[in-house]
Amino acid sequence: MQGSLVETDVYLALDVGSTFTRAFLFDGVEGQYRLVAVGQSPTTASAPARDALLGVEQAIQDLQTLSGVHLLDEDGGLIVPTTSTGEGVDAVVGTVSSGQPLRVVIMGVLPELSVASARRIVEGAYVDVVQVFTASDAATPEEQIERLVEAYPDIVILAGGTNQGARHAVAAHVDLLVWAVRLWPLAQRPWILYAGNEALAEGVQKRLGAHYEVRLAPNVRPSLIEENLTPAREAFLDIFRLLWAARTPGMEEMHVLTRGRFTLTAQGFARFARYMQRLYAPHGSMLAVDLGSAYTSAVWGPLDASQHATWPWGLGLGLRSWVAQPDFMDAVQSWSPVAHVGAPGGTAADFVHWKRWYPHTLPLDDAGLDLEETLARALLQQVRRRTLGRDATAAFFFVAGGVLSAAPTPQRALLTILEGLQPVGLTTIVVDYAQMAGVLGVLAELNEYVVVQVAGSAAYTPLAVVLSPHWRGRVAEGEPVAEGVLAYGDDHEEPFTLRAGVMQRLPLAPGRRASLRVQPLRGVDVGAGWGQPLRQEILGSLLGVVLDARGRPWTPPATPQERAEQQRRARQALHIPTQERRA
Amino acid sequence: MTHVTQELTPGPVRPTVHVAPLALVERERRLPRPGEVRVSEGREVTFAEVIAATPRRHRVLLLDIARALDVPPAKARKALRVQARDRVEKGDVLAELRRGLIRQRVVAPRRGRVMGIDARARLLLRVAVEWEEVRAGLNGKIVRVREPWGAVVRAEGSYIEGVWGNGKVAAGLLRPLTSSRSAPVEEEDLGLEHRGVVGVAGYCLDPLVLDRAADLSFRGLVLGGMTHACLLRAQTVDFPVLVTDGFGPVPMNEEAFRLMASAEGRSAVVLAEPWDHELGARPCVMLDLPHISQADRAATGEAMLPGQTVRILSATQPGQVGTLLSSTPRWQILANGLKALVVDVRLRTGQHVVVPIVNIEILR
Repeated sequence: MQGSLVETDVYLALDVGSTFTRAFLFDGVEGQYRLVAVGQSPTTASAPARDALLGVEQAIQDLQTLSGVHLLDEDGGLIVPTTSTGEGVDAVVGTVSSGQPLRVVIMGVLPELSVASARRIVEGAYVDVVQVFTASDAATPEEQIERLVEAYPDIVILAGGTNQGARHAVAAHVDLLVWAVRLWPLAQRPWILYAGNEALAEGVQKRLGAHYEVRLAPNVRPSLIEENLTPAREAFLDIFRLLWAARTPGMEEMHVLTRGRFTLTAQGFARFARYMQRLYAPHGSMLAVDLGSAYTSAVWGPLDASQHATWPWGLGLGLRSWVAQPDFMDAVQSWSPVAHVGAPGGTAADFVHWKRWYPHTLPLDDAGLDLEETLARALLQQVRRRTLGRDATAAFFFVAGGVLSAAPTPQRALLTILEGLQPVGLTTIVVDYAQMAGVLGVLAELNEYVVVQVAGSAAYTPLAVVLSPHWRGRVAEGEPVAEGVLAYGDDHEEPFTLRAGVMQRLPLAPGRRASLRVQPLRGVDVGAGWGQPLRQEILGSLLGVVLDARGRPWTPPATPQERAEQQRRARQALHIPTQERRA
Repeated sequence: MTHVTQELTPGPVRPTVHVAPLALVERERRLPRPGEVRVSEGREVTFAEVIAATPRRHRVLLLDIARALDVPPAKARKALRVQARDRVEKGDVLAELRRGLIRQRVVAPRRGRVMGIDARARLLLRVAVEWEEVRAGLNGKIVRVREPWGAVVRAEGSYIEGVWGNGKVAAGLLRPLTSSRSAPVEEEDLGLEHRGVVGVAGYCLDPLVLDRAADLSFRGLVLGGMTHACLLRAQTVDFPVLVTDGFGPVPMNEEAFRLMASAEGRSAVVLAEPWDHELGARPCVMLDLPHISQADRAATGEAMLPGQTVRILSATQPGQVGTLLSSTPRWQILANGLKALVVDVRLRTGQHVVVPIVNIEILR
């Protein structure tokens, strides 16, 4: 990797989120690309402005003020490229996560083959898969037509059949689409993406092309053992961007401003998260989560079998799907350390409604912040359930989201992550403090050095290295579950005992290395197997090494008062003494 | 509000929430999907009138004419007696074939409309349509038609916007249920004298109040705040329920309560449709007024200016209203450690507070 640059381009990266729009300025500082400043504005895609570009302009103006770099000319136009006097930028990229999810219908032959591939095509995009049709659908043709029409899709992905395979099932789905066109108004007709048996592509185009906008892509399942997703995914994203831009005022202008270097935040996030995985866990597993206001994205698994999903739920607008789910609302109430919200009688469940209808608002006091973190924990638990499952874990967590990046202390951010995602074994945790993972993912296409150098900068200092044992059966609080030593390079060793229910912290500053040795008791797993010792070289972090021996799964105490006390003790255990901070 | 403030540079635009004794409201009424608009510009409408509709679901029959006649598709197509878009009654002949003395017929099993016939002589008969409708929501006039989505309704009167609605719309006579804007409404507050009214109260903690209101055939219920449990119940009742200020034991803002309490016995339309952030259309109560000479035009947002009355949005400190002292935001660390762009506000209690601009709505 080339370490220094003779001449650096200046990049402006824009992220239009559901609640906030951010403008990032990247430039070379002493031969390395760095984030210079971030401007911010509320997103203006909705009323009263109903023009996302307005928020973009405000964010750029804010960036201009903060950075002192002249970005806009006298007419308010962006200066591109940079002038000899250092004004303006050389290129602009953008990401967006503001807008309603698109409705997608998937048609395939077999659920485990073409349908599964079609689902993977839409992974990470802001979509609701509203209906799935397979060859084994037991419904009558009438019922299928009704289902398809009622789904009112924006996009239909028509897959199925290997290139020498099934014809009949694909033809039956084409029939369905031809019938549906008689019932949908002209303006309601979806786009069709055909990515099935290539031998039928011409016929499909001929039959459907008269009624729909049809895009053909190579078969996602050319044979039973092959899967070819990339071309179909690109075609899908093209259609997605077109529809998204048409529906979100200001997006078409964003497309022009960025010269098409403009994608979904979730796509950019996934790309950058995988890059971070190469740095922190090239041979291990990762869980990356972007907890947004309207959408939540996750990337998980080992690098060579990484999965990506995006759900239409989050910490603001995205709470709409949760308010009617008693389990979720109960979970929020049972995690909240706040005895009553506002006046007596107010509950954490009421707070969920506040955030759902006022997603832009910030907590004004500690209780409000506690409640936001409670919501984040509940959502992170949902992410864990849908990704790693109950028992699996990952060596690296990369976490993004306003509630974490804006947390007033790193301790608060870490506790939210630990209690929400509940890692097991040894885990390095990095937080996307500047909330720029999405735009870095897009910038990677333009200049990989920016990504490499910014990822290695202080902006991505790990938050903590966490050792979280779990055990079989009951262990009384305070009982030892493992012994260990943290050996620093300077011959200094710090022995420790992991005690059930206790949280501790060992200093290990960012950039420093140490060797961790842990011997668990039988029936205890510290990440190397039941009763197996763990030896690992580790890198320092903001909070050093955190020993979280509260067991897994960890459940909070029964009452809000006890939960508040538990939070206080946990934050105290993670406190960094002034002496250490100075050092 | 004053001549001084108008000379200042306007601050950032913030959403406006209206509580106005006299207002001119233009409200876009929009279908979720394209459909047909059933009104024309200039027409007077009442709140319950359907102004646009789009099919929600269709019931169809797919009739295989070739199979029914036991002939090849080409021959079946020649036997057809109907074409696409034809309306048919039950028993009408769809296809007919003569084989010597024998006459074979396929008749419509139900009343419906022929939506299409394919090359294999299969006929798609639509036998029922369920419509999704948009009502005018307010008593007023259609001032713009937005094909194929809906129309803009203009209405005048006293106007109160809220934050949450259960999706229903109705009208009735206003009747305060509590004497104070900050008092909870209890089940026993609702008596037979409240039958068929639009009730107004501080807030609601008990879902049984909603059951009682349903028993009394309420035409609407307007509350300052409501808990999660009440919210769930409110979604099951068939009259409109509207929340003006927030969630939980949140009192109603003084302006709204005063306006509605002073209008006891007047007719009010409660348009309790969910707040549409995209359009900026909030659930609202509109009180009919006989004549309005000059009314403020209600906008969904405006620039912040010193002197404006603002509402502070907070779950943990609800119900605070004050006056904006500055409109130029600055970065500041809040008491809880969060960094935010803030402005200064003097509360009605006289207390001076700093508030993130994202937690502010202009109350007009």
